[in-house]
Amino acid sequence: MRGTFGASGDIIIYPRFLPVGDSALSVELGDVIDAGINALVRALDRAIAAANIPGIIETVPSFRALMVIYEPEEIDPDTLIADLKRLIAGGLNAHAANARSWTVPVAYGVPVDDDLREVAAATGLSCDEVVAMHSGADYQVYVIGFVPGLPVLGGLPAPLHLSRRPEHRQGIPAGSVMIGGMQGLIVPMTMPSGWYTLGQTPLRPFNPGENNPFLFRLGDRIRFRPITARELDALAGVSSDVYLDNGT
Amino acid sequence: MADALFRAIAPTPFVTVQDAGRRGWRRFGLAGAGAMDKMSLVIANALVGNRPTEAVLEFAYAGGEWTVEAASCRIAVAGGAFAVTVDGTPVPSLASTVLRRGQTLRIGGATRRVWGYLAVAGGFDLPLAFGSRATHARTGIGGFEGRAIRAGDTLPLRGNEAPNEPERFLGDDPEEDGPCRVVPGPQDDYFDRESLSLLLSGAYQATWQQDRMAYRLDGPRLTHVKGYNIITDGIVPGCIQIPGTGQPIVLMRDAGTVGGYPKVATVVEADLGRLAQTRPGGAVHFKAISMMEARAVRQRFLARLQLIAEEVNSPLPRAAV
Repeated sequence: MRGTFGASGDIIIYPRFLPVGDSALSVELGDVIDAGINALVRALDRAIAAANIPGIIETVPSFRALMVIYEPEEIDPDTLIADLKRLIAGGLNAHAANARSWTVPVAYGVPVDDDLREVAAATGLSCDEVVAMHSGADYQVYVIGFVPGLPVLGGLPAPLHLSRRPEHRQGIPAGSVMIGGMQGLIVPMTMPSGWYTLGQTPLRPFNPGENNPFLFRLGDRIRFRPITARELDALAGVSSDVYLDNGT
Repeated sequence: MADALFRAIAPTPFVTVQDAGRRGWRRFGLAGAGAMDKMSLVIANALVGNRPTEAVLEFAYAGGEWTVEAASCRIAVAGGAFAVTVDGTPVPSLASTVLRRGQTLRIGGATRRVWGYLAVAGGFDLPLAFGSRATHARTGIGGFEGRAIRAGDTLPLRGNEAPNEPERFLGDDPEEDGPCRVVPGPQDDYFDRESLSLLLSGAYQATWQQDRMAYRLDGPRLTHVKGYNIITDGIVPGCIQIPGTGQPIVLMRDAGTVGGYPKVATVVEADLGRLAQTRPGGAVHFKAISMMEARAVRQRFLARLQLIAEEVNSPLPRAAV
């Protein structure tokens, strides 16, 4: 159990069980973007899957909250909350058994370096320093979502934290490696975004035709490795497995 | 036997294949999609003898022109009050009818509501994508090639001939009115008490900014007490987001799986289809209910869907309606 002060000075005690309509609950475990709290979210997610509570349809983990979607015909919300409280009280194991690590190649400044230079100007760094900082950090997949397979990454170094653009840009292509706010992401399909593109990767986070269409899992660890535009072309279509350092 | 096909001669712009939507993939970023108005989905399917969740064609405001490349097929249209004709002859509303090879089905403009559903007996022979045939056009998943239907498209049918059965009718259009019920939260604490009472007492209007992803409403502005950025978390259809403008946005079936605006309340399933059927300019009133009340409302709604399906399957003679 942990607490923070709310806007009006009231103390908020976590976990909180908040209703989301007639068939979902948001279990909030904190109110910051933080590796420890995200590990707790994933631990609760695993504990729920292992407990096999009847009536739970699916769960949606995010930075500091776990959404639990349930069928109220099968379990009433009070019983569900009591079950979840019991699971949490029993202790959550935040150590994931099979966290995977990836080295993701990125051609920085490709195909154009407009955004890279904009980030450099906004942060007071050189383009090379931005690349060195982005590719020198350890990231972790905190959330998968908004569009299919999109990994939202925690671990972006503080000097690279930038406000997103007020307006979205249309047509950001798959494979774009972006930053925005405190986070990084890898674009799985053409989409609009207000974030900044640093470069391109040959990896595709969403491959709808394949047996396992989603490349990344929550909790996966990621490092970025600079490559040239030429290497990017050569790596197009190469099986993603070669970028997996450990785990299956 | 030649393939039985349902051909789009002149479809309206946003016709998509929809069913009850997909479950279990939100954690990977896949929205549920599915029919905007679940009750009309159930009615359209019941009228042609399909199971309630069979895939149908969903359209907005009008359906356009269609024909069948098979001996015949049985069809029914539900949802808005659409002017439906076969070769120019009007077809009674909320009733099934047989479309024969070469005949033109025309689904004209609705006089009320927004969404319409065209069901074909036996259903469309389309592959499942992530457990459902619902189209999520924004990500190119499901339905017919993951996109809206275009002129010239041919959708495979499961049957080559309309089943030899009597036509089915639905006596009364199950119209409901009353406020749109919401459960406050999950982020109602981002708003002061006055804002919450404004949401519940204010007269809101649907606007033209409405699609399968979200409906923007016009009306009293809510005031945030803790800013309008939350740490991105899960969303479901029905969530009422309040962005910086203070005007509500109700998230619909195609909305993304996570979002970063505070959600003041969430519309219950029983009223979300009704809200989706509200035309621009139409009034929207919200009423707060508890999570336990919402459970009872949901149970009554599901029971009602079942009852309607049963009523259609044992119809009264048309004259008695």
